[in-house]
Amino acid sequence: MNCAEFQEVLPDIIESGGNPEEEAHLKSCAVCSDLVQDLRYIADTAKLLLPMRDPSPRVWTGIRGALQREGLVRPLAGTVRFRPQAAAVLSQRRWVRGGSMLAVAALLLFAIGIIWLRNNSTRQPQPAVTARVPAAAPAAAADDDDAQMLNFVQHKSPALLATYRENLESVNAYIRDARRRIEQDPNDMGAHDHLIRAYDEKALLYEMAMARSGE
Amino acid sequence: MGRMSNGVKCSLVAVGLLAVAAFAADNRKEFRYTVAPGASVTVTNESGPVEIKGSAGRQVVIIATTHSDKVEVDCDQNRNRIHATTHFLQRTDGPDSRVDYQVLVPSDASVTVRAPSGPITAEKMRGDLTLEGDAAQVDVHDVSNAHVHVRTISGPISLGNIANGHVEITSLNGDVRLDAVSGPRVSVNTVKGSIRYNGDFGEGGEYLLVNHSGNIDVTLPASASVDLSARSITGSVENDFPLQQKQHPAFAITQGRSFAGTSNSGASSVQLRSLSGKIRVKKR
Amino acid sequence: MAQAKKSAGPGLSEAEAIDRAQRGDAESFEALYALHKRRVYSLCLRMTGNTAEAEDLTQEAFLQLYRKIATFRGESAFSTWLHRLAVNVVLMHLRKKGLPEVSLEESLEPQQEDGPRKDIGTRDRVLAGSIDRLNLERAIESLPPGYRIIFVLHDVEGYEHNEIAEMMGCSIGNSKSQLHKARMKLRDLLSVNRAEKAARR
Ligand SMILES: [Zn+2]
Repeated sequence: MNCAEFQEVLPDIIESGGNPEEEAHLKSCAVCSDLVQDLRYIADTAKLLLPMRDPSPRVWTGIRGALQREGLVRPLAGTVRFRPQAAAVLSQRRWVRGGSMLAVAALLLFAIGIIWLRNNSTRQPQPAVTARVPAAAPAAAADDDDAQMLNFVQHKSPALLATYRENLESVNAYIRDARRRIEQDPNDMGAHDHLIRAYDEKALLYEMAMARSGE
Repeated sequence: MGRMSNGVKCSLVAVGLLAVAAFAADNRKEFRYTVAPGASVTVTNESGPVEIKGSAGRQVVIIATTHSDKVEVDCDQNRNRIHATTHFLQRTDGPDSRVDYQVLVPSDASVTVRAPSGPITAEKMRGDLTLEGDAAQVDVHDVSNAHVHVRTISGPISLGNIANGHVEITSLNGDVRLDAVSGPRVSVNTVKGSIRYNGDFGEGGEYLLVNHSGNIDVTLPASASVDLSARSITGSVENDFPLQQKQHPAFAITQGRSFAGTSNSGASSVQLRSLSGKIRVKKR
Repeated sequence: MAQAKKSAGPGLSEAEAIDRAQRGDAESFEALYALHKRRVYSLCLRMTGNTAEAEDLTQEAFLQLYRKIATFRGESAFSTWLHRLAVNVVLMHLRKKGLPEVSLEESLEPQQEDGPRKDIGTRDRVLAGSIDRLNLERAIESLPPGYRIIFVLHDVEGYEHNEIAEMMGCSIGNSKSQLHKARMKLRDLLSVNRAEKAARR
């Protein structure tokens, strides 16, 4: 089997692994194994992409208007009452709190954007083709992300690097302080709230960095 | 005039010439659009101020002033959405990259501004505002019945005279100042920034002021009707506003670290939370 | 106010919010929106690459959700159900614009842009360990729409080829080959990006 033949069948075997002949080519050919490694690396990195941006508030305003017009919500004493969004967010946090530690962990990871659980649950079985799966733990991934974010800022707007670095340090200090407090008293719900907010702040920093399209 | 020395005359002429030169480099462009109710206007400006003003009528007027030929301004209308964006024709920073925007919009329009260096100002609006800038100073006043979302990294944020607002402010290092801001929901989150609130917390709403290490200062009149709680986990709290003790506060009260109570009918919920900062509540 | 606080009670779970929304409770609609807006919006934004469209589609997805919520029976997780619904809203919209079909036609992408042949015989392992998520986001944005949709659905959102084939109305083989081309294209984009960076130093 030559490279052209291998690459012809690659779309079909990259997820599931190939037959012995294809595997043999892959083992013996640096070009094809590098290609497979790159493609797999792209797919793996894509799994870690984060839902980072919230929609503008006008989206909810539009939905609310339509709900009222369509009569999908039950009127209370003549007028529809929507609770302020803060309360909705708070109660959202409360029910996370009431849930398992897993849910809390998921939310925290979500906050810095690592959809870690998803990787381990719904993904295709590990393919037989050489795989380069990032084995880093979420915490290490976060350090890595920090470095990448600063790199990105340096590339796009060098003048702002110092600001971003300084604020990254202060938000990480916030996270550390909240964590330390939770270790001291796991039942301190106020400290849990601070931790979630600290992650929200960190997400903001990342979003702002991303928004610098520069050029 | 006759007594003026030659030296002064010369420098006056020089100043005049400089002004002409500076004026010539500036390029002022005006864009006008007519929009239906509920229009949305988005301004993206990498460097320089953006000023938003609400007005009667259905016109959007964008006045953009560039200071070099290295940048240009693109405006377009897509149905009821207007976009104004600064484009770089060549890579530049400093004064050359700066564009000044003055934007007049129908007061019911929803406006999104992204201006990393700012400053950003918005006034006389009834539509939703989303304002973002890294180091931008943000100033919003005279806004009613609207969502006001502001996010900065280090820029200070000041809001004044906001009625019936859904206010959401997030900043890492910016100081936040709220004067006469009320509504069903007001939330402020900062890391190192300080938070000052001066006002009466309206008549029923949820107020949440949170930071890591800055100070939180609240000044309110005796007439304020609040259900207020304050807690700094490792910092301190001070209160000289008369509150009635609550039977069942949401958390255990620790002297010097937390307090909670109500005044009048306790219409608005006010939560002040710091991890290590100092929280002070004062009567006006 | 006191009453509003009670109804927000500390124990409100997503299941309860769904249950109440099914009975037309306004506040529960908002709670569900707050919980899921970011993920739905991000999906719309990645698939369309356009903020205004993403906003409209997020609105449409949630409206459809609320119109149909009475029929939600909990066979699948709520988030899975909502997500699938949002994907369909986006696909429907893109179909109206005529984008994915054309890009799904294999012939429309210029041949020399596709396929692996130029790699044959040259060793150019370029990426492993070097790309970051931010660059990948940018590269995805610049993919042609048809490629972008398949890539986002499969590699970012985690849908399987059979699900994508069903949603897109194409064959599983087609989905696989489009995904492969999308990844190849991304590899190109990212290598160029990297080469440029290196050249600038
Ligand atoms: Zn080969």
